[in-house]
Amino acid sequence: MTAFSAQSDSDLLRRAAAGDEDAFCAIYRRHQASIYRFALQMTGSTSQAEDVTQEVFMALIRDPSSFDAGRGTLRAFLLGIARNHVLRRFDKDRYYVPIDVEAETRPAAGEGPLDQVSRDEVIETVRRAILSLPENYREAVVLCDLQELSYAEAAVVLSCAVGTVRSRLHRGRAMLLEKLQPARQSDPGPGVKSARCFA
Amino acid sequence: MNCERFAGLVTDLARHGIMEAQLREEALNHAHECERCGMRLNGELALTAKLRMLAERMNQMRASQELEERLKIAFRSREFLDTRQKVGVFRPWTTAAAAAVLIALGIVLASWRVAPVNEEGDQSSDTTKPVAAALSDDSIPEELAEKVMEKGELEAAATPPARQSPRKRRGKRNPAVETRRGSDDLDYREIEIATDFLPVNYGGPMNLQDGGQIVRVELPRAALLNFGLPVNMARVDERVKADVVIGADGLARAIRFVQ
Repeated sequence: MTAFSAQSDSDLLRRAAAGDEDAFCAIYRRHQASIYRFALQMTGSTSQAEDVTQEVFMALIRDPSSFDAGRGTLRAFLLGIARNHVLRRFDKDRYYVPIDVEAETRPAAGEGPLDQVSRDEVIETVRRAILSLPENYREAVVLCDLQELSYAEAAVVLSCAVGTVRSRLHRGRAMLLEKLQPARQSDPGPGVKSARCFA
Repeated sequence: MNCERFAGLVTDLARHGIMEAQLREEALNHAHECERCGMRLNGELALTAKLRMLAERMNQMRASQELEERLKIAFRSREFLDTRQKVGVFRPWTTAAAAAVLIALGIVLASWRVAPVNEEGDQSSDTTKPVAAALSDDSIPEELAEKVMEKGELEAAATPPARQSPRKRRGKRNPAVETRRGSDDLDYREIEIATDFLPVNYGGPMNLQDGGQIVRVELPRAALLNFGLPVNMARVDERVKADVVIGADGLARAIRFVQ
C-alpha cells in the first residue's frame, strides 16, 4: 500500500478504473475521513455520514471517468458528490425532527478532567451552533473553517463563484458569533458565581 | 481604513488567511484604534479558535472498517456494474434500432391491411360483373334484378376492410389456400344471385343471439307472390331456391330467394 502513497489521485483513479482494487483502497483511505467528517459536520449524524460516504465511493466505483482533473482536485470532486447527497437527505428528511445523538468525545492527552469537560462543552456548543446554521452558510463554514479548504476549492465543491463562498463564509461566521454570544454572556467565567444576598 | 472596509477583511484576518502585508497592518491598526472593530476582531479570533478546536476533535473521526469492506465487495463486483454501464451506453442505439424495426413492421402491416381492401374492391367489381351478366337474363324479374344489383353495389361499397375475416386474411398469406378459396368464392358468386332476407310475417322479432340456422329449400315459384315479388307466369310451375332462416324455436323468421 505504501507504493500508492506517492501516487497522485489521477494515477490511482486510472488504475482503479482498470480494476486495481489496491488503488481504489488507497483512494478510499486517502479521502474517506474528509468525506465522512464533512457529512458528519453537515448532518450531525454518524449513521448518515457513513451512508453518504458509502454513496460517494459507490459513485466513484460506478463511474470513475466522471472525475475531470482539469476542474479541480479529487477531494473537491468527492466533497461535491457528498454535498449533493447531504442536500438530498436534507430535502428528504425536511419533515422529520432529528433525535440528537451525543457526539463521540475523546479526552485529549495531558488534559485534566475539568479542562476536558469545559473543552467538550465548548466544542459541543460550537457543533450545535454550526448545525443550526442555514445549509448554504453551514457548508461554507464547514468547508472553509473545518475542512480548511481554500476559497477556490470550496467554490468547486459548491459550484459557485469564489466571491459567493467568501460572502457566505462571512455571513455564516457572523451568524455563528450571534448564536454563541448569549452563551458567552451567560457564562460567568471560571471561579465567579452569581449569588443573591439574603441578609 | 474605515469600519466598513475593516468588516470586509475581518474574516480573513481572524482566519489568518493570505492577504497583503500592508493591508493586514492597516486592519490591525484600525482594530487597535476602533474599540468596536477591536471587539469584532477578538470575537472572530475566538470563533476561529473554537472552530479549530472542533476540527481537531473531529480529525480523529473516520468511517467504520465495515464500510471499507462493503466498498471492496462492491468494487470486486464492478464487472457487473461495468456491464450495466455498457448497456446504458448502448441503450440509445438499441432503442433506436428497436424503433426502426417497429416502424418498418408498422409500414409492412399497414401495407398488408391496405392491400386486402384493394383486392376486396377488385373482387367486388369482379363479382358485380357476373351478377350483372346474370341479371341480363330475361328469366329474372326486373324488380328482383334491381334489388340484387343494389345489394351487390351496397355490399361492395359498405363492406369495411376490418370486417374481413381473419380466415380470409390468413388466406392472403398463403397463396395456395388463397387460390383455392378465391376460386370457390368466385364460383359461388357466379352461380347464385340472392335477394335480401325478407321477414316472414308469422315470426316474432328475431334475436340473433337466440341462435338459429339457414336452410336451403326449394319452393314453388308462386311463393314469390307472397312476398310481393313479381312472378314470370310462363315459369310458374318451376321451383325456386330459397334460404330460410329458422330460429331456435324451429319457426321460419326470414327468407331470401336465390337464383
